[in-house]
Amino acid sequence: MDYKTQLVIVAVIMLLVGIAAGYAVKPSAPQSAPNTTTTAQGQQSKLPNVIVIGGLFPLSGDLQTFGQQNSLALQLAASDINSFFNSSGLPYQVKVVIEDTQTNPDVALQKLQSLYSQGVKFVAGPMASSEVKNIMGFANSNHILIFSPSSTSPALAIPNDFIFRLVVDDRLQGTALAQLAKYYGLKHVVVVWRGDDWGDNLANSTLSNLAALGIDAIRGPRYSVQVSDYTSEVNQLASTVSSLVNKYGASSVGVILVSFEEGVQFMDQASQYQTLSNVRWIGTDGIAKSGKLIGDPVASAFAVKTNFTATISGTLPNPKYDNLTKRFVAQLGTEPISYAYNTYDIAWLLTLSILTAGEYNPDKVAKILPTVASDFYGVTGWAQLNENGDRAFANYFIYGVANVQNQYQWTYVGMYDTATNAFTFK
Amino acid sequence: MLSPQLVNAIIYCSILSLLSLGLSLTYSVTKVPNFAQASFAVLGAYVTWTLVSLSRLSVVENMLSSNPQAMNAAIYSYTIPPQTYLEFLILSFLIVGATAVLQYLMVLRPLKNRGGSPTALMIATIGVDMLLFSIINIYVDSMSSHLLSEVSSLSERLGYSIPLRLDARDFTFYSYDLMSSSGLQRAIIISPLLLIVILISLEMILKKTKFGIALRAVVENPNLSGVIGVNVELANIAAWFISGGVSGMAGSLIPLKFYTNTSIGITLIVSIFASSILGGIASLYGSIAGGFIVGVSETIFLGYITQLTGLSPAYRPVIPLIIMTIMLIIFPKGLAGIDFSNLRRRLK
Repeated sequence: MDYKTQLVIVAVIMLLVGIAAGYAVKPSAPQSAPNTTTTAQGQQSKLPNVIVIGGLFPLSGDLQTFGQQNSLALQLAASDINSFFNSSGLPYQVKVVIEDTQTNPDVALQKLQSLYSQGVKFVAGPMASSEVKNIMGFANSNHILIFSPSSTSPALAIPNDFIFRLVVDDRLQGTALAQLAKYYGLKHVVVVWRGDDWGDNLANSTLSNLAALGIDAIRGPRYSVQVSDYTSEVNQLASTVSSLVNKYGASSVGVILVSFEEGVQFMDQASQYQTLSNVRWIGTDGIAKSGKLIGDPVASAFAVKTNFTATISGTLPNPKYDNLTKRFVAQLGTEPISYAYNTYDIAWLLTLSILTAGEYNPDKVAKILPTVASDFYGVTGWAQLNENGDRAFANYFIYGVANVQNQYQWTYVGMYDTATNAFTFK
Repeated sequence: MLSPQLVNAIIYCSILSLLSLGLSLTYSVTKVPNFAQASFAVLGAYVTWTLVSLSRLSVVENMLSSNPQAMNAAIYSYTIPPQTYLEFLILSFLIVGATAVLQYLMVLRPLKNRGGSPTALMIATIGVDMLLFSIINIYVDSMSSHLLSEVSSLSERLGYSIPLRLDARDFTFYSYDLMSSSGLQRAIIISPLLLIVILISLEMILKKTKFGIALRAVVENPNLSGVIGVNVELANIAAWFISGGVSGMAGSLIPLKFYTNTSIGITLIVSIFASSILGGIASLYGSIAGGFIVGVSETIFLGYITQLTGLSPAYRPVIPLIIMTIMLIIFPKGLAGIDFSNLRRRLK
């Protein structure tokens, strides 16, 4: 093999890596605006009779289960809104166009560009903060209103932009995780985290909150989101935990796993280490109520053995919430995560704001959305937004895994009230 | 009890060695580095996914008359039946081998006959890689949708939600590969055993059969082999079939250990090339050695380094790139091209 060929091989390998990162669908050509409504007086309203809401959800990838639940939530909301329009005699219809972001920031951007080229200017999603961060520039410069049900990175709490989030940011989850570790009597906690914007921010917030509570906060491995094997990371974690257990005993040592659903594979591999099976594990909203976890026999058994509990923000159940839950269970066979309820409310908030603005115009809607939200009581309760366009208040629910009639299930363990710093356990 | 790191290293090294062996085999006869080699492995992985998913579904179908508790217990205690291992290994060999032959017959041979340069052929293999990637995704989506609708209709029939997840992406069959007696994975036996069986078979075919001798002749000098009556085309087709088949079998083991999705080939391709280049891209046995060295570097060596220095294991993908770069600069012909006796003399 000559030198030139070798160079070409290296160049092609690099090219392949680049192509893989950028693989996605080609955006189609821009389409004309939807038809508008003509009033009785013959004047043309600026509001189209078909209101299109885009959905950017991870139907595959590390948030797959949650993406599917949120996609269904958006469809249920559109169906309910259309029933409302019909019964009210209003000449409008909501249409949803859902795209799969694959839990990949680059794909999320390409799918947003694809939606924009189809004339979509209001989007529910994406779910991951890394995705929101990557599409933020395009959304702001093209005035596309993004409303995420689950992006919690504090770095994205920015006022006066086109990014809204119906979820509290992770500064509160960092507090909740640290308080939970303290409640469980842990004195030495190793934090392992997913190496992306969301993981970095939540891990840092958790570490600083642990330290503030006087707990020995130890930086564990930060793993790459692109690897398919966590042996080295788990081995490094086992080594750290082992030395802590030998010094202080297993009851005072814990692990906080800041992960999406790839945490299931991480737990599979961790189950091979006796030391890691003997300490308490805590998870976050990236894995709480994950269907993938309770579907995996080894990871589920590990979760039960390590008293694994995970936190996720949400609101107290109400009649609307209960009703929607029944519909979710009928279609999914299980209760969804709280972020799916956020997506349901997002569809209503966007529609009501567009109707109030009287135009399919993100500039106008972005201005009135906080006002509409402050008076809106949805399935997730009051939807008040703060100055950054993020949800102002929420509580954290704590879920654990249990074996019920030979089937692993997520069970409600308790709640952490962010306002009072108090836990209420079942 | 073997340490988890050693188990991981043995499985990974075996798979990587088989994949780089496949790459070296096609390079030896066609003189084209095949960038679709990792997609062959992905194809094999999804043969396993299909068979194991169908096997898991059949467990549910056989338990329809049982109560929910018994059904749940059967789902959670599922382990891959021994015949399924045999089925996915054989089926991967045949399907992926046939795919490799199609690549040769429909893309590389026509291009070669029209005077295509090695660079043009190499770029054509990237096109095949993209095509395979798309075909695999289409297949996975349609098969996954079929399987999910089956589970859904069974759940409706029984009146409760069957807790059977058949994820097509970002899944692992680690849980279903464990031996209940020892807690060890079967892959720790199957993967090195497969490597040994393939090595012995190749050795016997290449050295003891007329076909093997003909194949070696084609590798050495295709023109001269043709003149003396060797069917060069048949030798090429056979080499591509064996290469694809071996890669398919190696790929079929991936879901037993690794978090698998349709794009896992992208992470594998760098390690496969690094192994092949390290061993000497045209050397079959060199590529096996290369696979082990790269595999051990990415697992055991990385483990020691991270423990000693506190370095993040996230730098793992850099290791094969470093190995490949060093080899191309210092030993472009790989381990197989090093004159060790000369090197020893120089060092003295």
